[in-house]
Amino acid sequence: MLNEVLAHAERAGIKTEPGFSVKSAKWAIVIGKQAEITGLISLGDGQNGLEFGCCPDLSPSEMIAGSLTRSQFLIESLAVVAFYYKEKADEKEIEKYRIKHDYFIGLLAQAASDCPELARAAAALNSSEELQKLANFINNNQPKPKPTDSVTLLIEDSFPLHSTTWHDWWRNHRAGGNGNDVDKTQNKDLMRCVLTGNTIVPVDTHPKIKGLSSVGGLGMGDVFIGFDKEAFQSYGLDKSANAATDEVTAKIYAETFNQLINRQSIRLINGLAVYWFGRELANPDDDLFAELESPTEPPAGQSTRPKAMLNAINDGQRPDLLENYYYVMTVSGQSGRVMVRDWQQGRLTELLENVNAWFDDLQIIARDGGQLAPPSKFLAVVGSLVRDLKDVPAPLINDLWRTALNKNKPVSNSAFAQALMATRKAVINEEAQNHARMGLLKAYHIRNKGDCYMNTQLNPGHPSPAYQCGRLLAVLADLQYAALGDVGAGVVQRYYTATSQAPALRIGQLMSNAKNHLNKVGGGLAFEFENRIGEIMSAMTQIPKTLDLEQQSLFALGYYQQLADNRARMAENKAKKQAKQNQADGEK
Amino acid sequence: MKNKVHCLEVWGDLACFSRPEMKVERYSYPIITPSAARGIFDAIYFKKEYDFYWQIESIELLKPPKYIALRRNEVKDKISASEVQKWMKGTKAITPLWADGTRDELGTDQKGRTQRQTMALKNVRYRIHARIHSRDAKANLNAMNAQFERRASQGKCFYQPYFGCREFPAFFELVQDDSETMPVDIDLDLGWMLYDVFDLSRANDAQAKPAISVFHAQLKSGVMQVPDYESEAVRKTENDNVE
Repeated sequence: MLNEVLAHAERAGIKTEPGFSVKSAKWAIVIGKQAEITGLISLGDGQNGLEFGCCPDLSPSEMIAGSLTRSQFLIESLAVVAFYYKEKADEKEIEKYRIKHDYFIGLLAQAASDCPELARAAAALNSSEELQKLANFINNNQPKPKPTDSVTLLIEDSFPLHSTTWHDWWRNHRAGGNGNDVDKTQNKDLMRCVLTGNTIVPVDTHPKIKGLSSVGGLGMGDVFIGFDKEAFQSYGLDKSANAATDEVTAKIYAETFNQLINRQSIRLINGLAVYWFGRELANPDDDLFAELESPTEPPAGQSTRPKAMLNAINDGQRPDLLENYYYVMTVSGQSGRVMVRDWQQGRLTELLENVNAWFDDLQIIARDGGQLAPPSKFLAVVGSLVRDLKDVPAPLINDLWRTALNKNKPVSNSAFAQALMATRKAVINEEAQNHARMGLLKAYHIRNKGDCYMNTQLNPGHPSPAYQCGRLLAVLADLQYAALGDVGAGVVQRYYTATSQAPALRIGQLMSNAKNHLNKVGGGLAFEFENRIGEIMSAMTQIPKTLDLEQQSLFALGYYQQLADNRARMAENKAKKQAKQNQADGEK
Repeated sequence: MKNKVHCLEVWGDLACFSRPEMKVERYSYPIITPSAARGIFDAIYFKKEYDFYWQIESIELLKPPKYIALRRNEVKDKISASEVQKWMKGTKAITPLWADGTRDELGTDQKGRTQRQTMALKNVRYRIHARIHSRDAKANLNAMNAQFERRASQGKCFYQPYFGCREFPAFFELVQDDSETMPVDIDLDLGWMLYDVFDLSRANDAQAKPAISVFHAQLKSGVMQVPDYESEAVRKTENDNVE
């Protein structure tokens, strides 16, 4: 798991060292030749800011070591750099910002020995007049920056963060710091690193993993390896010696994971699926996790992307996909710790087959008939089971996620039961049936029951009487509509639940009503309805007395697919009629 | 010459062989670790005065790893042994181990309860091959082997063997004939796996200091070969095996 993160870092050439980190800045303070502040500019897309690959970075423990209030160097919050804070800030908070602001300027002045242009920045930020100018720039900006927004310096059209001239100064400064992480590694026993197998001096505090605040994590970050409570430690080992890792290794895995969270992750409501590949994908469109998250709708008559990729492999057009691997870790935050909820790895081709099977199994005819429903997003499948996505229990999401990534994994009973209940509710409330939900019911029968008769469209030859009963109800509802028009609560609203649970009890009554409806319809239409009812009845050996949950879902699928077929047939008839009409008009 | 290799088939409903880097929010290795396997053999037959340890040779995975998520409320702190001694002597008043309470009530966030997750394995079954490795050259290995076989075949154990955590009991059966069950056909590179927490070259007691050792674990066709503790493939804390 974490060793695979390290392996990814090595393959991807992610190099990092303690004291440096990738950071993003939303704003840049522009500093001119005369040590004056000439503006404040927004960086990047305005939302995430501009990423800088090698920023100075002090760990949280280094920031507070020796009871000294410190700031970061070159990149900090506007509150610190511009001494710009909320109007409501209390005196204690303002004093903290002032100390940090002074510390920031102090660092700039010290680093000016190696990077002279920083002296201008230090002078500008130390001047109350220039700070006032900066405050005006901030206040006049729309949208107005927040005090917590990150900011860096732009001195004469160049970012010091892009320069390497200050790197050595920073290394020395950090190494000479009071109570820093470097010092803490002194006088410690050597141990075996559990991630690399090397002999190392274990680091006390591991870097934070950021970006999990939406899934239970803390805003300031969470740690993968942290033993800050007594009960977490064993065998008399102190803190992180319980899972010994050196500072550099810890830095690499944390940095790499942070980058992966930013670039390759999918939010699964209360967890984040972070994924990566053995080799960089040649084509970004080959990202199957992105496809699961938001599938591309194939043009009419063409295959879905996973199927097209599989075909390309079989035709020998994509050998690059053969020797690649995938890794996916689902994580969330818990009391400042990173909690791993799931881990999967395997060959990319296996993933391709699995994702293809997921879309295949879920594929179902659209409710208005005619064509197939577009492939469902993963979260649309999850969301189809409940009223609100946030109501979905975490184990259910994880379970469905594993089902999507493993073609041999059956659909869980809880997902199936939820889907069936929601389907019934939708029928009774006359709501449009959800494609993803019906697809999941279909997938249940294919995966769990090996139902080889289950098709995307109506299968008149399906051997299950429950399926045929569902079909019959759809035809009878159609007949009622043809005879009486909209009657408010029709046979479906009144009898769907009862018929789906005990068909033998209701179908007799429905059939005797149907006779009246047939009489009313009369003519060729009645003949057609009689044929359809006869065809369904002949496909059933008997009408079951009661249906269990699985059979009820077959009933629902039969009803749904017959309804879609009815609608397609209706549209076809309408088109034919229209064509005839057009022809007749033309002849006239 | 190597001593006789014994084989145990072990199974249970749940198991958790926590990865050291994920032992707070526990996440299990997909297969039993050599130290957990050693613990099962120790539960059946171990005598400190005989000065030996169980050397695991190989582990066969008989059921594919399946995970289950469990969440429990646990306490954050431990009772200190010195405190208990003071209570026994009556020099200090007994204070309970707080199982609940807010930071304000307890005065610290180091006490009270916290919710912890366990990603455990469910429905596990392994075949473990191990032999007695005596530190005493004069030891009567034949007698020791016979004692183990007698105890294991009768289902005797000093305490209930367990799968990583004491709440996950392990059941065992001595395999005397070639078993027909084939291991699950999977290949996995598990990276560096915990080999043992203690230095097996020494006789350890309850006060023994931990000496973490790791090895590169690989599952080939469902079988994990475990190197001898003394081999160079096992990276130990002691300097004798340091690069």
